[in-house]
Amino acid sequence: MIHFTRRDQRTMKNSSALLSLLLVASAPAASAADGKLVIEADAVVTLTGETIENGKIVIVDGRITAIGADVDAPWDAEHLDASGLIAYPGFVEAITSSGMDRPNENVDVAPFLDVRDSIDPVNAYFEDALRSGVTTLNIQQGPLCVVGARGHVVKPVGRTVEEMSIKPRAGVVLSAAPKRGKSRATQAQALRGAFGDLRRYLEKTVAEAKAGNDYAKREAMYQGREPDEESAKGRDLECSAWNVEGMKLVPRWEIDEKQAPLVSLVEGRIPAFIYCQNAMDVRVAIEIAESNGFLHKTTLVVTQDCDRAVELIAERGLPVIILGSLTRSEIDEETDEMEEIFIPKVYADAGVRFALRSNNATTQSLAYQAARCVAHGMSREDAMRAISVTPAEIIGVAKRVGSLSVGMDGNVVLYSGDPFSVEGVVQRVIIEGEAVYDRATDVRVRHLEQGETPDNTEPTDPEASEDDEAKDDEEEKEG
Amino acid sequence: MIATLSLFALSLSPVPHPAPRADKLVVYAERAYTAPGVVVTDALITIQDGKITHVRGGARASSADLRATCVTAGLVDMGFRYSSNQNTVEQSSEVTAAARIAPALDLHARGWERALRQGITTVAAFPVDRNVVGGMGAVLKTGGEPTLEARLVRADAFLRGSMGSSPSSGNRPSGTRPTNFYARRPTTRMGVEWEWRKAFYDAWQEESRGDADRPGRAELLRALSGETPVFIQAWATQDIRTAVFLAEEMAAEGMGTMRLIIGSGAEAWREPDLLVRSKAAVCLPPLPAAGRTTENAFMSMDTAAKLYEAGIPVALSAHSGYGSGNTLAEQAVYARRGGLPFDAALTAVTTMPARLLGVSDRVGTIDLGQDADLVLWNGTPFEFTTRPVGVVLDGTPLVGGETDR
Amino acid sequence: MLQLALLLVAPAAASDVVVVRADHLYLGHGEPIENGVLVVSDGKVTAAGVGVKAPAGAVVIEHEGWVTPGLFGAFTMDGIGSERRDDTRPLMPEARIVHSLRPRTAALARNLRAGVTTITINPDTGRPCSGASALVKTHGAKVVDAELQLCLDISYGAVKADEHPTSLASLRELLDDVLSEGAGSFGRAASGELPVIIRARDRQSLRAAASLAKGHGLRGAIFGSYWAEELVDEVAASGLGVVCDPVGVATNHRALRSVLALAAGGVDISFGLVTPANPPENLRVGAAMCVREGLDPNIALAAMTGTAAKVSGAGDQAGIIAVGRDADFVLWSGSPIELSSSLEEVWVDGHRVHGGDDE
Repeated sequence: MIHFTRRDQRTMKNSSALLSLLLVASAPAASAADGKLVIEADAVVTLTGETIENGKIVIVDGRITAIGADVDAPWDAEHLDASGLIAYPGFVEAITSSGMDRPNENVDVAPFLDVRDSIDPVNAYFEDALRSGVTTLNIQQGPLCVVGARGHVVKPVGRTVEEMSIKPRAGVVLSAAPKRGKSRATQAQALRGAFGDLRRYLEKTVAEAKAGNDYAKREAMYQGREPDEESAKGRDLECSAWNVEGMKLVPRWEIDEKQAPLVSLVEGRIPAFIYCQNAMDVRVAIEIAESNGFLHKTTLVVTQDCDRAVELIAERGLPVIILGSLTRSEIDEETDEMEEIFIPKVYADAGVRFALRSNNATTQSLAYQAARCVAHGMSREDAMRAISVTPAEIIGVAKRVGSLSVGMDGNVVLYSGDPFSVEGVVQRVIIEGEAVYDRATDVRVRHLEQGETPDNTEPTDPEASEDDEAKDDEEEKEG
Repeated sequence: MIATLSLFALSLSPVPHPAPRADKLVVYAERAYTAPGVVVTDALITIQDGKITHVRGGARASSADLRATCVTAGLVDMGFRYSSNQNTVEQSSEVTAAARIAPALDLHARGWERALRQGITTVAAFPVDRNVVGGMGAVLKTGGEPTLEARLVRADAFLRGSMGSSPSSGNRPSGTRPTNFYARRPTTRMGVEWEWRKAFYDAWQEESRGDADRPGRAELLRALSGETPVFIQAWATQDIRTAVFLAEEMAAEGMGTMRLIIGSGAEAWREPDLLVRSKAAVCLPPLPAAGRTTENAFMSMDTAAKLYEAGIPVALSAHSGYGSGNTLAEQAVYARRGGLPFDAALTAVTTMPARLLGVSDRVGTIDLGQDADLVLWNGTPFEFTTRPVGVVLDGTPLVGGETDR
Repeated sequence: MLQLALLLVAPAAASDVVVVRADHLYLGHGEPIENGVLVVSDGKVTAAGVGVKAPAGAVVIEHEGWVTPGLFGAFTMDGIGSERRDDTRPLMPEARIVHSLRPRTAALARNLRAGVTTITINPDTGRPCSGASALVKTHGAKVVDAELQLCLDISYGAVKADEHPTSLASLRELLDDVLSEGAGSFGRAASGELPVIIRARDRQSLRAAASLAKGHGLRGAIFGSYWAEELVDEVAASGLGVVCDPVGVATNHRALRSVLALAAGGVDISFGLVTPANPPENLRVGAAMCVREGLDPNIALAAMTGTAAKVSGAGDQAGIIAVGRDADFVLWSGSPIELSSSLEEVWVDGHRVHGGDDE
């Protein structure tokens, strides 16, 4: 083995990091000339109707303007020859806390935080998303909270969060599963307490407004807010579960930034994603949502054996996002017999809408998860829907992404075969009419798949680590 | 396509009842992959007394007791770990060549059933890799009566040991409390290799001198001579090299030609020439999600394909995996995704491990006289969209039916 | 089993003699005797059966209820505090738990009040051989036998990570070897002179225990019944009895089924008292649960008395009412396996030590 000095290895590491940066950040291959692109593929799978053989997709200014075998393309459009490939809509990751600085905060009730401040555009996670055909991601905080930050729906390309943004302030996470250090009882009480605090705050604010006190206004100005035409007005609370009289007296812009997102929540304006770890949590989640008026905007994010509460979920008509393993086993203590349960099927059989979530971008990608549903007896259509249309609906972006039809975002993934098959590999990705990924130039995929290192140098010593580099620096100082 | 399993709506029963071996069982499959490269369409497989007695194609399904879309031989996992419990390895000495795995096995552990349910019918069992030389491994079936008599296919099938850091991790150098159990064992890779070499040299020299016998010597000599294969865990390139160089050194000294099988050879793809020249076989570990795995080894997705193309015998393993993404069948799918042809994938989970373990006369193919171990699939095997839906072991359907959702 | 026939022994001085007539007299084996009579003199039983004549001048007690032998508590760790096991070496056959016994502990008194008059005190399991148990009377902590059983453990509990044996295979081998070598206590165990009690916790160790016993001709008991349901034949072939894991009110069906399967398979069973972890009152509860599940009531009674003593190798010294034996017995308001019955009096060595008018 050729021995490299530490410095060489660092350089090689840096250059590979640089390369991945370039891949994400630079404008790659074919960018649509004047925002017009025509894709011609062997087949176009729209997920709204039939598959179109020899289909064409026309994208202008980021939106699909035509799909079909025989459509008129603008004379000055860029052509992307995708013969031999099949076009699919980009898949939708229903919820994720990857790609952020850190997925969880210490503060229990933190809806005033926004994941926008935490998203890291050069995180390899977004590059992985492209590689596995995911073009829309719902970035939310992790489950270690009582009420978490506001989320953000993004596409996995862009140098800044603004460039990546599809839908800001996209809902709030809550957790019925206990945060570290809490028991289920204290978690449930903390949830109730958060909304109790909200009520008390609103009542106090109304009382102060009635008393002619301008404390709220001063506090709002101190927090750096300014009223606009809409928010300068007060209005009655529109919560279906409880009320605070006199909210009309309080101009909306004056509401404390810590409480304002919760007001939106109880007024049913923003989606809620409630993490549940088991059936007990489902009950708590439903109670909290129901008693605070946002059940109709709630999606349960379920793991482990929440499916035991499937009847409760079906009764309320709630959709779910399934995290973690798709299979679990139950062992009958008396008979010692083991039963294997395929979780998505439990929900499907009960008529509950469900979305899948990838566990990684390779061995358990989104397409993999859906393929396993087929392996367990679900139809292709149902499986496909769980990684496209359903998550798009849950997130509230179904008019833009999740399927291919006129008016929707031009998010197209070109596969070399059926995405559920061994041959089905992502070759090209187009997001809003821009070609943003080409497998042929993907350095990292060659590394993962064939072990090639960037710029074809010799393999790096796997034992080089940050500790070694620190020691190295010391040695160099001494030497 | 979904398999239709009729008549036998069985769930797996852990209570051992004598298998109705004398009963005849007939299995129909639209496609039977009886051996790598051989597909029988509309196959009817007849089983009697736990063995396959007849296979023919172009048959009708109506006379069958069990029907499936596809059928393969029961899968063989030679890297199987039914448990990570260290009570299978005797750590009071770093070289325990005479230790046998059989009395330490808990045949009631849940791991066997988890293997059976994913279509693995035959496994290798060996002590957990905490010793330099752990002892003699055996080959067992994963289902049937939970007794050694019922399940043992072959005792003393290989000598198991390890290179790398697992035998030395947890050891502390002398300088710590001398009464500490772990203060006297190797603490580095070179210490591990030293123990291997010493064990072999001592055994050989004692034998040449005519010294009185001691436990472990015969086992080491059989390994040296190639009579018993040596199954050495070596994740990283440096450890694979160490294993190969050790074998070559023993041969160069005239002490014998070892038959080397590299276990968990994640980085075997880096230096295939080394393996070709030493005629070593490789059993691969499960594919990691992003390349890096145990011992910081990097396993590329095309590892199996690369080894296959170089002519190196390769077997796949799920280790202790079950559930989404971790089964042996899925390891075969990932290998295919990485470029391994279908028949080579089938080989890597049936005939190759059977051959390496020395049990080809009993398992690995669907053929006259072979044990009646079958996996029933709801479609073409080794696809993301299919899975095992039934398992027949020694002629008894043990998994399959309406109870599995 | 046989009922004791009428047997009249030469009467001692009339004032020492106590006669108890009971609606039901249970001797520790067989079936209860209706209108049975028990004659006690000088601390020993001098007669027991039907139609026994009371010697003149004897104190006669008419008991409307049951009389049974004092209950036998198998496998306890009472009175030894934290000195339960010496961890110096994996094999300590010559260690005797009796030296850890502190006579005045409350645990023994509590056992007595629950009707348990004799217990075995055992060193803790968790080592291949942790030493020898003792046979002790709960009243006065009288040591009847200082070396009752050799205590072995062949389960995963005896395998450690930091000393030999670390694997189940070498644990087996170790016990096999020392029994074959036959030195000291192991030799007496192998010859059948010293009974053993072998801890098993799962099916693998149950099998191993049965095989070890069969291979070396051991006599004594396996402690651990929970998984025995599937392995009755092997246990029966080993010749060992079984001390059952305590069966409580909420015990699941596997535990109950195993006890019943063992009894049905002809294996001698004893209910384990397993104090102080388990309250001594649970002995009756467990027996009642098993009877409700279908166990023959007479087997249940024997499993707390005569058979229990036999399984623990104390059959000659405790557990039954018989001529010449210590007069240790209990008066109950009804059958002890009826939970509605209450304990009324406990007699040890012919004297009432608990209950009755004195308290």
